[in-house]
Amino acid sequence: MSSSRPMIEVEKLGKSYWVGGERLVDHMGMHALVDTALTAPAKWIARRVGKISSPSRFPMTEGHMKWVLRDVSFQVHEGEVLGVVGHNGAGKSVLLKLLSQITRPSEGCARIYGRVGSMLEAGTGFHGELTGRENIRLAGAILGMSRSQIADRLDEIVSFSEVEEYIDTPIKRYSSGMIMRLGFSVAAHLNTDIMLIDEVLAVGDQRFKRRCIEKMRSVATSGKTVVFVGHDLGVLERISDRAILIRDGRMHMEGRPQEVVSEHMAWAEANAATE
Amino acid sequence: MDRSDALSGMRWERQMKADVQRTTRGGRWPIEIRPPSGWPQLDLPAVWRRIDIVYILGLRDIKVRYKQSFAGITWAFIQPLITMFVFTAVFDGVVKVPTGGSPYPVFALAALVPWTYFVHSITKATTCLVVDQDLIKRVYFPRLILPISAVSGGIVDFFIALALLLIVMPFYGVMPSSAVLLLPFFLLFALATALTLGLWLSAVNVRYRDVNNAVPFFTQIMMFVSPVAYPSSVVPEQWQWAYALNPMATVIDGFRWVLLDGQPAPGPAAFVSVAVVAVGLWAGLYFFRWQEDRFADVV
Repeated sequence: MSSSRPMIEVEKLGKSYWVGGERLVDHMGMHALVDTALTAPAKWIARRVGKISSPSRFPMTEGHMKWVLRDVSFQVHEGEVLGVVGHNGAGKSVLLKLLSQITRPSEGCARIYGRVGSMLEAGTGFHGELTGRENIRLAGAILGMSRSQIADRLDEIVSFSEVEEYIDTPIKRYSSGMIMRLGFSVAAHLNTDIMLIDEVLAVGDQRFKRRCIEKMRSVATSGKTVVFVGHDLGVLERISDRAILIRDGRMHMEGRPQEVVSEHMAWAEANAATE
Repeated sequence: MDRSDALSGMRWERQMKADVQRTTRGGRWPIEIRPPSGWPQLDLPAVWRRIDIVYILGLRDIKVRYKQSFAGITWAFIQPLITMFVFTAVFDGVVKVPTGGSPYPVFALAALVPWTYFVHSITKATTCLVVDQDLIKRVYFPRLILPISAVSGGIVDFFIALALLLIVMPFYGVMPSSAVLLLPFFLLFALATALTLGLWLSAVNVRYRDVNNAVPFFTQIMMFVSPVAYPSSVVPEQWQWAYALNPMATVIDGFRWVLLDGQPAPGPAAFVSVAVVAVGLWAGLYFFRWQEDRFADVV
């Protein structure tokens, strides 16, 4: 593992949101806009002279900056599976969103050396009026498959989802379980060098969920570079080569999956006890 | 140790390059994920690499629009056809509008074909980011794809309406002029005009949904300052350049010129329109890219 190159490098990555407040302009509409425009020249001069330090050109309502993720650094090497552990709201999903370029970080940087596929949520890009087959083509293209790749894998995707019988029916007639199964199947058949996987994608009844996890495991062990966000710690422990623990948006620990998981469990139990 | 490391590094890089060429047609590596800063990069090649999505989203929109619809695709010419009848009754029957020799119905329809396309396109483009916010929040692709797809999807309807015009023309004894080969150019210009407005309106609409309310009103006013129901020649010569600040004036004049034999070519004021679109599109692309980073957080 040590001789291979990093496929993902993350350096001091952070994301902040303004919580509670919003720009006055958005809060109060036209009135604040006029107000801002009228006082802007005076403020500009004041800033130039250096008398006041205005944090933003736009006044904000009451609120504060919340770092949902900060100072997170790690590397993932070729063929390695990195597990990400953390409590609810720790920032795991934000990390995946940053790495899949859905949202931009507020500080730090990440470099990715290869094509990235995200398995974050089932059914991304689906449209209720279209049939199962049409939706596979649609979602596949949006997730990054070429049309020929989709054509090659169509049968596989359909059979994995177990909705063969209804594949030419609009999915608005599907049960929610069927839609989720189809969504998972499309995402699971992405074939990129780097995969970002959120375990919440494993959906459906117990049996299908087991198949999802099995599929994720086979993706993870097929030599791809994987970042795996887990909730079922047993699964995570088994498929990860290494794990990181995120707590309240900070990197808390990095190490062998067993160590990280037991550290997290101990903390979670202590937390539950104090409540 | 160092040497073998360097060697494997070189091999790795070579392999990476081959992979890149195979799978992404020349994407830039590594992908750098940083906070937004400075001038945005347009990175149009990245849009081109994912152009598949434009096609697939356009297809989706066409399919969805006519599902559970009785008249289906015929809607694409019902609307311009009925508008043509109403315009003919009002502007030919009641008010006598000069048409420069062409029968009024085809004179109006030649303008309604690009105009209907334009109105549909900017209406759709305005809401494209909000309608597809699900995609924006859950998967990455160059966001420019969405407005581009919105204005391209209407081209199917455009060709249906154009076919209608070509069917109607012989009934009135009107033939296309020899300049008809320039039609693709004017179609492209209509598309660029719609995209320009679409970029600005969609990006602003993400934060301020007022845009969505303003657009129907805006297009209505635009119709009166565009030569849809009347010829642009009614505008005095010295004001033609100001009139051409509205690029749709040139688009419609162009359509009439190439489709209806005997209609005059757009005057030199057309260059004003070209300049407006060129500057607006360029600035719009930058504006959109600048706003793009916030879409997922704001929408």
